[in-house]
Amino acid sequence: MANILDQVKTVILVMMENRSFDHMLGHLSLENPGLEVEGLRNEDMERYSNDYNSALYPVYPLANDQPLEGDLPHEYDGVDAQMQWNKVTKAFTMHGFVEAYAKSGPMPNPQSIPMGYFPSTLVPITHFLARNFCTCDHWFSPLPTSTQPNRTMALCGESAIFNTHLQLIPIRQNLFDWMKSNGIRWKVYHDGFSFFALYNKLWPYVLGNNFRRFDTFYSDQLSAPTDADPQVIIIEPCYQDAPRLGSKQPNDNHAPLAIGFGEDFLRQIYLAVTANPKRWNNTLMVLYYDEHGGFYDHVAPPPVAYTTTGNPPHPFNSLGPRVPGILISPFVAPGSVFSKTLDHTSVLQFLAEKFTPGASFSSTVAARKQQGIHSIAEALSVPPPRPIPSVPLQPIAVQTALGQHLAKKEPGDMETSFSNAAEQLLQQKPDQTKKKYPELVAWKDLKDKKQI
Amino acid sequence: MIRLHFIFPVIGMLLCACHPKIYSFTALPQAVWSKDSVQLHWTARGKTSILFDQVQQANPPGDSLHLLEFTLVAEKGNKPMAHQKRQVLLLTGQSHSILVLRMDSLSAKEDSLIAIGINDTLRWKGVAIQNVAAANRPLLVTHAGKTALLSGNSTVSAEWANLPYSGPWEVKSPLSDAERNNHSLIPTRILLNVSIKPIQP
Repeated sequence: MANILDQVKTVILVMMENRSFDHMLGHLSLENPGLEVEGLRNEDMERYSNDYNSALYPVYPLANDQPLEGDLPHEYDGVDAQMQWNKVTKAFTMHGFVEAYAKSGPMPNPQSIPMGYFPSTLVPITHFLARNFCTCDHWFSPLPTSTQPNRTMALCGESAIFNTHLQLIPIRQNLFDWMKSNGIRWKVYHDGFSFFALYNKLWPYVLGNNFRRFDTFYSDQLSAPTDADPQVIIIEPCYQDAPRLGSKQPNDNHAPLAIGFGEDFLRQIYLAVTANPKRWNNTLMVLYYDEHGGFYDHVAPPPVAYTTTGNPPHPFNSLGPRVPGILISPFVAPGSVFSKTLDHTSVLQFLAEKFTPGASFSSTVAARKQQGIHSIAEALSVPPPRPIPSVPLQPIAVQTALGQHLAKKEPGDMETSFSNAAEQLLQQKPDQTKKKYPELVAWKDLKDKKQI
Repeated sequence: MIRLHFIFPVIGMLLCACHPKIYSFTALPQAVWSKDSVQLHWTARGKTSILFDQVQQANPPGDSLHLLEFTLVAEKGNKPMAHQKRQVLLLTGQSHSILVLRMDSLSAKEDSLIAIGINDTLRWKGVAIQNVAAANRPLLVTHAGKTALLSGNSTVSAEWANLPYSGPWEVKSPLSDAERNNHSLIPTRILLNVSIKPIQP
């Protein structure tokens, strides 16, 4: 194992937003029944069906890629309802996704939005990556709750917060400080305003030179490798809730976005990551999602206990629902499946194993390991060399009978948090912020004029 | 032939830079027989139109569902569109429905499971029972003031013939020895196969 870890020179982390494993990759086992992957199976369709008001709501293939009517519940109380603990059997039934959706407002259709899954034709890049590299079919979100706590777990291995609301997020230990103290070179490529701006402790990094525009990623990758190259690269999509830098379409896959924009973003990343074989030969790219976003998944999360560090502390008794996780690298067998329990701290475990062998990332990450969370290092191997699989060169077209856009939803806490962080950055660090993110000046001007 | 009755509400009329918005959209009843009408009602801001599709949906463990799908689209200038979809279940002459009752308690002696549910009155308005088939275990079923024992083995009972399908249901079922010893083996829901027909006026 140490030999493989030594051969990995560049770790690339790509975290998308709010989709469950079954929603994105459940099709793998339906379309390839012989594949040993914990996706959807025809023989278990009745078991998957959710119920609400005594009617069954089956899973169903989405017919096209169009924007959804709105977002789905995925705050901690909604997730609790979705996983539906049965006090007699003392197990999650995973039968409450439609009920949670109905209680959030909309009357569920027989084809209820949380129960839809994508056939491979509608997620061609995700399918391509899964079939050519390593699918992790037991990757869970660390906490059964929403975006901010789960992304904080991914960044820090711990979380002071248990829900998403208007806030600058308090953190102590974090990946950036850890990399700095261990002399690990890193860069962030962001295709919009960075999520890390929500952590005011990270503002010196966010405004620094290691944060670069995503459109420079391809050319950076194309250059010849040097000893000064980043060892860890984090790639951020253009978040739907964040102020736009430029006029780009959001592509983070957060509902209600059509999925094609995110698929094309992944296509662009893969093209860049594989553009230079000298770099590719020593690369491990991790594609994962922060949380399930309210979409159905059939696997009950295992009982990993965690209490948030904030005041008041909030106890969680299990992981959250499964999310898609794919390891993309020459160091995984083509079309392989890794089924040990993972969550976002599995990445932090791996980084510590690679860069600080013998010392864990933190005591909380070590404690999660004790509770059964494995490292992604266990999925790596040295398969025979093969040509780099080719992804479609043409951009993914988002086709919908209703056009490419959806009416803007009412701003939620995430959007307001982003706005708040952007405004505070402009106020407290005006010169640096204007230099680093000149689009924010125009964004603020338009916002003040109520034109956005 | 399905007849559509549209009720056009007062739509936001002010000329403003607002995005189109759908405030409400209903298609009722949620289940119709082939000669019934579907009534659509909406309130929205912007120019509205309705898209209509028919959809077939696999419905494990029963037959396919036939769905009438109405999509309301609201547009306003060059602003991004708003849309909402409502599906109505199309019932055929001899329709079956799967009724789901959730188990979340045991009897006082912990020798039987109790599963309950309230069948959606909005969806099943106008629908009566022909007969009820038991699952693969004995069930004591109570609905509409009547109680009957269905012995399992696909027993079919006409005990509730012509009574409304909607409303509260309850079943009790004795636990097996294995279930008594290991509660994780107890099913978390009981499914009944119900033959349905239009309510006679």
